[in-house]
Amino acid sequence: MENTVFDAIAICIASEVLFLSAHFILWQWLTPEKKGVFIILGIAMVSYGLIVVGSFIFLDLTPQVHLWTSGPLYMLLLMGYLHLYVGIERSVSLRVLGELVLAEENQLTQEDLRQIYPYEYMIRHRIELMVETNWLIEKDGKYICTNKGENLSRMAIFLKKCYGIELTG
Amino acid sequence: MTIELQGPLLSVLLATLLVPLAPLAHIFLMRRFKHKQDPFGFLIFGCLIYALTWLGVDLFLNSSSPDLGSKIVAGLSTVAFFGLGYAEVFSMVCRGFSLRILIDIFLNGPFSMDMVVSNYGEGRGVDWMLKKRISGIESMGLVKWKNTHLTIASNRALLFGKLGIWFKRVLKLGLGG
Repeated sequence: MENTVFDAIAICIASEVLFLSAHFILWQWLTPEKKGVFIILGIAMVSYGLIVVGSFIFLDLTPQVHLWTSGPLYMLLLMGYLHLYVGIERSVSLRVLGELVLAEENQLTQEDLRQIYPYEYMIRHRIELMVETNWLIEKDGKYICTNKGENLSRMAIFLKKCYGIELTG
Repeated sequence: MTIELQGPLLSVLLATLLVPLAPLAHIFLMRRFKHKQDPFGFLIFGCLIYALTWLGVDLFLNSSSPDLGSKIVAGLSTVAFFGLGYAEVFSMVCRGFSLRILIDIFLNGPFSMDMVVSNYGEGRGVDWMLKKRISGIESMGLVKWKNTHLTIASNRALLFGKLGIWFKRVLKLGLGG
């Protein structure tokens, strides 16, 4: 296998290390509502850019040689990490599993679970996020879809029909 | 500067152009074998069809280029990237909690917070969703019911649970879920 592949892999590993370090440091002092996926994407892109420029300046690795290999590989690693991050942060199943790990003798009744992990909490922070991102608006204590939210809902309903899925969620 | 359309660039381009194959194959399988109720199995199969088609087309159109390693890494990374992206979109449509709330409000809203809880999933309520999620992890052998108590079913489940807690603590993500 020629050197280009190894150069591309090395660039991806270096970018990933820089990205994860910056992500870890920033996440120590950012407030929870600011810890969004778009900031992660921004950190990832800056990390990759810095490593590509750095490798060009210090190691004489011209971007044209590795860009079409290191770029897709880095995007794949990033997509994998985002799956992991969102999965762990938002997953209801993983939260239930975590509560069972923390519980005495690793067991809970349904009522215990409801007290530790209330339905209102599950819904509230999702709705707040959708209000923040302008999918929903609050009016007189009730939530309504914005145009953006309506379009996304229509698209999701259309996709459900395509797949032939009756009930989702 | 001229860019030659061959090698890794062509592999990435072909993988990008062939992306629609994954959802098309997936939708076809879901509709054709509706009775099998295996949406995620069909998703993997759809992505496999996409990957194999890319490999065939790439070998046919891109064989003159000598940098085989770069071509394979670039093309397969692109295929896997789009495959994972598509899996996320499908998962959102099929199981997405927030998207379901949005659809419920769109179809039957406006809703207050309490109404969202009781009307979730076309009137089934959040209770139904939680039971569905628990059934999901139960069928994966991670939890089990002992009379009225839900409990950890295996060391693997304990490990997953601890890893989730550790990840959230390290990145200060709060309770999550």
